[in-house]
Amino acid sequence: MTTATQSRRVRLPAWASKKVLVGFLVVFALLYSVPLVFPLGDYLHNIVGLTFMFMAAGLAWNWLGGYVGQISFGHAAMFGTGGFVSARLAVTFGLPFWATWLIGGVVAGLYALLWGHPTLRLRGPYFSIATIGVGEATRLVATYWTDFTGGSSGLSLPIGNGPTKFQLYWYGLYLLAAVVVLSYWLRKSRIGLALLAIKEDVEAASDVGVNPSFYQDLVLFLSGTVVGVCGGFYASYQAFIDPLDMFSFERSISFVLIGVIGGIGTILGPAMGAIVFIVIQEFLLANYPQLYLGLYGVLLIVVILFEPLGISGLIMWVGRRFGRRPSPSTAAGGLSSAASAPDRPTAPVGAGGQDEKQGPS
Amino acid sequence: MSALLVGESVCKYFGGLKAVDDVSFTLDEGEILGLIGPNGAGKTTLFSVAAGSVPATAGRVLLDGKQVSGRSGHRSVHQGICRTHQIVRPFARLSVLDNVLVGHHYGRPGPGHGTPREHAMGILEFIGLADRSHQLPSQLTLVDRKRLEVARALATNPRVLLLDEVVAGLNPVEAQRLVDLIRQIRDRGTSIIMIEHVMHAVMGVSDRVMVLDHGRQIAEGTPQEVVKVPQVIEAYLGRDDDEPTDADDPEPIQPAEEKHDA
Repeated sequence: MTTATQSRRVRLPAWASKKVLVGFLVVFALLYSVPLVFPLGDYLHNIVGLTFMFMAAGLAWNWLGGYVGQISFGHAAMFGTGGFVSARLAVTFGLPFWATWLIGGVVAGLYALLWGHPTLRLRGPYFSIATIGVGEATRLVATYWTDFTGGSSGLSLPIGNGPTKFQLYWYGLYLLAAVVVLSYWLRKSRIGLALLAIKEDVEAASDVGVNPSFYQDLVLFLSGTVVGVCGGFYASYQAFIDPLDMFSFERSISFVLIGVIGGIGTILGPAMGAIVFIVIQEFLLANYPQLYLGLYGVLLIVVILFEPLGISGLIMWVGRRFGRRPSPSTAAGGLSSAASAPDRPTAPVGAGGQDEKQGPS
Repeated sequence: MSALLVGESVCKYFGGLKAVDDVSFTLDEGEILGLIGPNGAGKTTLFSVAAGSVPATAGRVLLDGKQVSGRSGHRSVHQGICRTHQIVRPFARLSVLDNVLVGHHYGRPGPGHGTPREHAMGILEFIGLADRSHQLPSQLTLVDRKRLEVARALATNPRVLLLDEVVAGLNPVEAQRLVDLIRQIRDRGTSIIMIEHVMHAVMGVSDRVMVLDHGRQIAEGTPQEVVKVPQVIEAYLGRDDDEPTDADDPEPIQPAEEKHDA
């Protein structure tokens, strides 16, 4: 898969492909081996594993929210669907955990298609409002569907079915790596061009031969599938899930926040956003739970007011400041708001992840 | 010469408004058909029907004997009909080259020579935008944005190109260059229907001209024939009969630019 996308990628953008691949492999190897060489301590090790999951979910949300420009406030629906299908498969049929994740993911993707195919005709705020409705409706159904979800008492996963929390770190890393590759492919292949065209002007895209509903459906399906797998991962991580948590509106908001903080529409921005999100959630909110909504609200306002591209925007600004990226008026400049900046953040993402791990330990 | 695109009694009603009413037309291979008429005559609506982005109320459009579906624009692009818009709609955050690449990747498959990038650059060179390939559409002048619109449509490898007022709003020199370009596009084997208000442009380049008024076809023929038809003079040219056809080119510039800013 990596090689196939690689060869396709090499042809389209002449810039940075090799650099990106090398960076990707180096960061992957580092993240893979660091906990083996320098044990992180249980708490931090687990949190980093969970961060990988949130990175993957944020990136997948960004395919729809950033690449296509359809902001979804209902991704918890797929997160919960994936989680509960996985959990149910593990509880009732005792399937191996990886199979439950995959099946849960695909079911979540299909569920996304089911409501997404009609609603994706809406654009902008109208689509967003529809997704809020979908998310809430799904939450209510799940809460009252006691036979499947266990209702408000939730589901406990059988002990010993999934990997231990310690092992989940690496599964989270594999998941993240796969999603990063997909993110690059979706942006840099010719599909990425169609998605940008749809984001800019649906009708004009259709007038030059792009089939908007096909590509929007495709992206929503992929996004829903990945978020569903993340839900399965989360179920394994928590070993207990309940609908109020999995399907909550806060859950949907968290994906939006991760995308917005990291940089909507950028390739790797949401991965950085996930780090910020986890840091806030684990290190601030654990101590000051009453600040929860206020803090996220303030953060959103600050980002949108001062740097609409979030952390990616800051990195680009710093890059320009130090003259690393001289002329914005190149082909890359055309995509700079979206595509070219994330070429470099490969390294910063990894670096950020390690800082976070090594700092407090 | 065989008819490439045929419209059979095409009607398009919006409620009680007959935007296009029983219009039949043919376009031969390698022909340029001018489509003129006063504002609100239904020209652009006819384009939308012919381009398949809007379903006809009655009648049908055939490309090479195959019906053009009115369900979605992208399907007729794959069949070989591509339209441009009166108010240009470039993909604002894509470079000029990427704009053209979208058309190339998703249009009608053509003879593949070279990489997509080379192909797109070839089109840009032909259109005269090659040295601006890395700029954003917002950095282009109006005439270049119109060229970009044509280039992007051309990249879809169309058999029939529907040009909606590409000359409007340009100064005479620019207009003349664009008209020459349209002729060259035809010479490369693409048949063209063009809507145009700039009379000397459309009369100079068209093989035949069709005149619409209030949704109905009121005349058709060579430019010389059409301007002599009394209904045409009355409906379109004759409102203030002190205007000879050649003198009215400063007129359309104002409204077109206004629209563009909006």
